Amino acid sequence: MQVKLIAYSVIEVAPPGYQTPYGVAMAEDDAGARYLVRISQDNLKALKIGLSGDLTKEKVDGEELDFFRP
Amino acid sequence: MALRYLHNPQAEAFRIEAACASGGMATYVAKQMIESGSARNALVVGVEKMTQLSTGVTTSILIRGGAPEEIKYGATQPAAYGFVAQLYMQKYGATEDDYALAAVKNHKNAMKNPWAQFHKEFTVEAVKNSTMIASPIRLLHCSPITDGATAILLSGEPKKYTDTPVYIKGMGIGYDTMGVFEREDPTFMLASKIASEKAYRSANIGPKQLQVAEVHDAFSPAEIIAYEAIGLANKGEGYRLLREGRTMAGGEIPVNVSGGLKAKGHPIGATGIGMIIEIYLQLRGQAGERQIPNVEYGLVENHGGTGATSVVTVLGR
Repeated sequence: MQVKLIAYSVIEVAPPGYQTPYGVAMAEDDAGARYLVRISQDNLKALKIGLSGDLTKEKVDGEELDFFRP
Repeated sequence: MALRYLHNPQAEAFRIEAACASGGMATYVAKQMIESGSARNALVVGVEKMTQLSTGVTTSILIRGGAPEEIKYGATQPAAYGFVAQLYMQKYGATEDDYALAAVKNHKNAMKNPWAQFHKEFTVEAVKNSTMIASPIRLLHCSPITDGATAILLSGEPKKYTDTPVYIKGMGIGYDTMGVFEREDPTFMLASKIASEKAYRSANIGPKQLQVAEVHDAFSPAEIIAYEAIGLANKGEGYRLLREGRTMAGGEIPVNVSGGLKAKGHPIGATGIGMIIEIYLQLRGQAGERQIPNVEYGLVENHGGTGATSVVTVLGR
């Protein structure tokens, strides 16, 4: 699914158990539905508001998360 | 525990939980009990002991104040405020300097508060160069981890105890979604707008009649959007109050004269009551070096999570 970023944050200090840095973002699809998404370490440099990308599902510690891929 | 120390087995005691708004919410419940006649007096107590745990463990407890999705994705409270800060800058032209100004002002105010956790001033540059926590939120935008305790006595017969009581003139509660990302406008604190409208209505005043306010600056951007929610500024113009010095101690409407959560400290459950105590002192002329002259009305905006719950109180003489 195609979405675009409307806001993001790169987390440098996190609770125990998280590999920092990682990104979280608010993304929106064409219909205006909002999603909270995770952004992996290798994609943090390219981030900007309005950036389009795909959502892919990935398992992190047994939990399925939506990842944003520019 | 309260009963044990009060030696009064007839008294009713219970615990109110509303994250950072617990103190405000407990005060609200006490007020309702007195007004309904089910209690004559109510002691509202807030206690928090936070410093015995590591910062990491504390953060993982505090993230529980967010929405389930925020917890799942690791969107910490600073990250949720990071979204707000970024969206607000993009929408209204505020800059990172404006967020820094809130922290600089509150640290300056705390220099005159003997009860503040920090007596240390910072420059805008120092705030902007502090450690990044969750972009664009830096360490010096964040309220600290604090131990603290607060208490107020509410009474239906205040003149029995003092000739100069302070009155709760109006109080209101408002709610919004748990998660910032779910809000139609994440840059606006709807819960605090709803709560303040109720509080102003029951106090029969408007924001222009306030001489002083304490707002919930758990993270610096929250102070700016609180100005807008409680009607001190129009939507998108809150940052201008800081730029123009209008909310400084000598300004037209001083905000967080106590040092705010930022510098006075933020013992979660004790905070809402501590904010009321600052306005109480201001109204009684007992705020020492940080006294604002001729205070007739003061307001407290105490919110929980990233603004999911808000309690607003208007106090007067």
